Amino acid sequence: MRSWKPLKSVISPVRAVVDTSFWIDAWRGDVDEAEKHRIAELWRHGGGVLPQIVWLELLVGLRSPEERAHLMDLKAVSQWEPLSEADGMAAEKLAALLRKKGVVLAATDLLVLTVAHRLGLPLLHHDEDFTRALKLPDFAPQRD
Amino acid sequence: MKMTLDIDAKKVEEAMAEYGVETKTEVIDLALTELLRKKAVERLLGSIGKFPAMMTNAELEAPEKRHLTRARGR
Repeated sequence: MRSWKPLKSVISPVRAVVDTSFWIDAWRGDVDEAEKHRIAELWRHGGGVLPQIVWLELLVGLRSPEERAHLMDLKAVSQWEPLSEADGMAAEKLAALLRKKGVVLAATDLLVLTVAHRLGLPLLHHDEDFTRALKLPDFAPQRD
Repeated sequence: MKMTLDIDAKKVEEAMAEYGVETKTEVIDLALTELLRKKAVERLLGSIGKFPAMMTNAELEAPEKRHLTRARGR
C-alpha cells in the first residue's frame, strides 16, 4: 500500500495540485503577493494540476458568465487530472486513516488530497481542513 | 478542416524539428493551441481579485460540512 506522507501546503516546484479554495480566493482577491506570483508561474508554465473534482466544485459555484469564461481559461492552461476508481478506493482508505486521528475531511477534499498524493505534488489550498490534516505528526506510513 | 496555406516552409520545418513533431498538421495545431493558451493566460492574469462576490469556499462546502457535523455527532 502507498504511504501517506505529509505534503507541503504551499510554494515550491513548478507543478502543483491546486484546490478549489485556492482558486476561489485568487479570484476574490484574497491572496498575497507571493501567491499571486505562484499563480502567474503556474499559468504561464502550465504547471497547475486541475483535478476533475476541483473542476466540478468550481462549476457548481459559478454565479456569472464572466466567472464561467475564466473557468474555461483555467481549464485550457491547466493539466487535467481525471479521477479513477483507484482514486476512489485510496480516498476511502485515507478517510479511515484520518478519522482514526480525529480528522474528518469532506469527500471532495479527500479526493483532492488523494490526487496530490498519487502525483507526489504539493497541494496549494486555502482550507483549514487541509491544514489540520497535513499537520498531523504521524500522517504517514500506514500498512494494510 | 482542409485548407491550403502559403506559409514559410523553413519556419514550419524548424518548428517541427524543435518540438519533435512529425507532420505539418501537428505543428500547426500545436502552434494554434499555444497561441490560444497564451491568450487564456493573459486573460487569467487580469482576473485575480476581479470577482470579490464569487461564492466562497465555505459557502461551497457548507452543505457537505453540515452533513459531516451531523455524522460526527452520531
